[in-house]
Amino acid sequence: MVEGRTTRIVKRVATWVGLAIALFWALAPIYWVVVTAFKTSKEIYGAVPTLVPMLPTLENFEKALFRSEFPRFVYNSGFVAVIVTLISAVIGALAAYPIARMEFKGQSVTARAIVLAYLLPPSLLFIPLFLIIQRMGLIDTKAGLIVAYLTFTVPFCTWMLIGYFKTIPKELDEAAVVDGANRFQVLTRVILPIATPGLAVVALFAFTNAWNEFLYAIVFVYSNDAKTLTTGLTSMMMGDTFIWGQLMASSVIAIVPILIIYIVAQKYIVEGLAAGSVKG
Amino acid sequence: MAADPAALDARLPPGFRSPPPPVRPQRRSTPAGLTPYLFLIPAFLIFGGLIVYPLIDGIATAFTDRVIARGGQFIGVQNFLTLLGDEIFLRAAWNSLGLTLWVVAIKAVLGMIFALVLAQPLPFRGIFRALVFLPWAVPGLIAGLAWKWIYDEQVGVLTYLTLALGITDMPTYWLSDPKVGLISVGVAMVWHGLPFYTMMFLAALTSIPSELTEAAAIDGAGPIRRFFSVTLPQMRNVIAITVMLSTIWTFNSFHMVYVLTQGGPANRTQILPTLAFEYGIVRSQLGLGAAVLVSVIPIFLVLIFILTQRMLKKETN
Repeated sequence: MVEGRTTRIVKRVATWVGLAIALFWALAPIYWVVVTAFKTSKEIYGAVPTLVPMLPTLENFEKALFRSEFPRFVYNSGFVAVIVTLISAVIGALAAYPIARMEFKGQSVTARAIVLAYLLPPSLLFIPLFLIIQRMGLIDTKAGLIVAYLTFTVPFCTWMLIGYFKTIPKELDEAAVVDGANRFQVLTRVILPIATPGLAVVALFAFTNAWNEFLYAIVFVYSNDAKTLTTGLTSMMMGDTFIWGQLMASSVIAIVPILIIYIVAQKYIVEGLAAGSVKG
Repeated sequence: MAADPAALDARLPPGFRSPPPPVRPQRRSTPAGLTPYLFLIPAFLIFGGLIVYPLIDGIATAFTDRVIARGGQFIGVQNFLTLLGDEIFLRAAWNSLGLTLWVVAIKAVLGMIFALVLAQPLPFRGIFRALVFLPWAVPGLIAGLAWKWIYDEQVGVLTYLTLALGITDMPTYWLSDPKVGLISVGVAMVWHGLPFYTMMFLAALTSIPSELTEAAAIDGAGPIRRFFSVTLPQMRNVIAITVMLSTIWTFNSFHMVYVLTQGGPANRTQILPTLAFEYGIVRSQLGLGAAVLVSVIPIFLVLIFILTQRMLKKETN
């Protein structure tokens, strides 16, 4: 590099200043949620906000976990997200395999339809889906939410898995076919075992999307029996005024599973983004 | 070693050579009859029953006076005429457009700056990157709650800070002031959506061969010149895809508006998705709500078609 000394110094200073700003911007709101969760109500609603809790307390967590509906909402979210993830991983793998590997009429149209469906925003679909789910008698049930969530997790999983399957050498399938395996056996015994890491990442993404979903949850569900944590938290927010401590504690609890996924899969997340939307 | 057939063949006169090995057809895949369709049945069912059919049904509903409790009558384009004369709809359309434009623009510029910073050689770079990406891991709804708490008009930290630092001498009503509300919503959207840009741009930046920028440097181009004439053109595709994806998502950030302002005060921060919810579900006028959604479908179809094309092209490369 032919760079002058001053350029280098300017560059270094700019980098550190930029980094400081980026870190502050990203972390300050998260920090504020977390400290609020550990404050007493008196401190939260005091005249001067404190940077560090004066009397750190677990009261808000205790309230959220043992004296509110919140655990039920978490259970509902977890239940819906797990079922949705399992179904869409299976359907996605089945659909991705022929698109990645076989030749058939309508192949490119199918691939296109999957990307289209993946890009279709839920906010375009929620009123018509409401009509369908109403007709199925599934309004205000977890089953209704599962049905609704499949509309975005199935195209998502299929699209991501097409990318993963294409990275597996074709010779492996061909060898298995020569050995007398049928296509389904090739998928389950050859492709899927190799694609397990990819499948796991796709499943984590699908789980996260279902866990975070809000619009369908607020449109299709209104009773506490089926409410997910996102809609549960908003109803807690609207129901009471002095509830921020408990809300922030609940938020911290709700972020934890996603954070664990994020830390575990961090290496794959950028790759996943790249495979899903900017391959190559 | 005498078993090498190619070597053996070469020594034989042409007529006695073994036939050439069959040329492998240069197909991407093997023909498979009905099998692929069997694999695709479940996906087709979901696609047809839960996406295509509802979409058609929704478009049809937009031409009826359907309410939640009962089926509706066909009323032609009446719903659309109602919307065209509806000040709230026009404002929501305007809000959606303006908000999407400036939020996407700010995310693109800041995302690029952050990506450039994180691409520099730094100690603990991996940790710094993970921390800057962290808002991405926060569920959107909880991001909304966090900002609702920051913006709180009685005891919120932002009001306190702006007063204490003397930036304003009156408390600002971040969410209930009609002039400020939409900006506050947009800032929260920028916060939550920015890491996606930073990640995509960073991945693209690090994949640019360093020979390119080095060659430009040797030719005497300064860092700014290098960025605009070498780095940026190399990232064109990634930028286009990122911006288009994010435009779709930003336009549809129902949750942010719902949590922060619920479209208020007096519908000043209403965007089209929240208005469709308000009309279709809250006021149970499904026909009118569907008409709000149908009015944005054309814009989206164009965007989604372009994006699909690009993503498939990338995929086959």
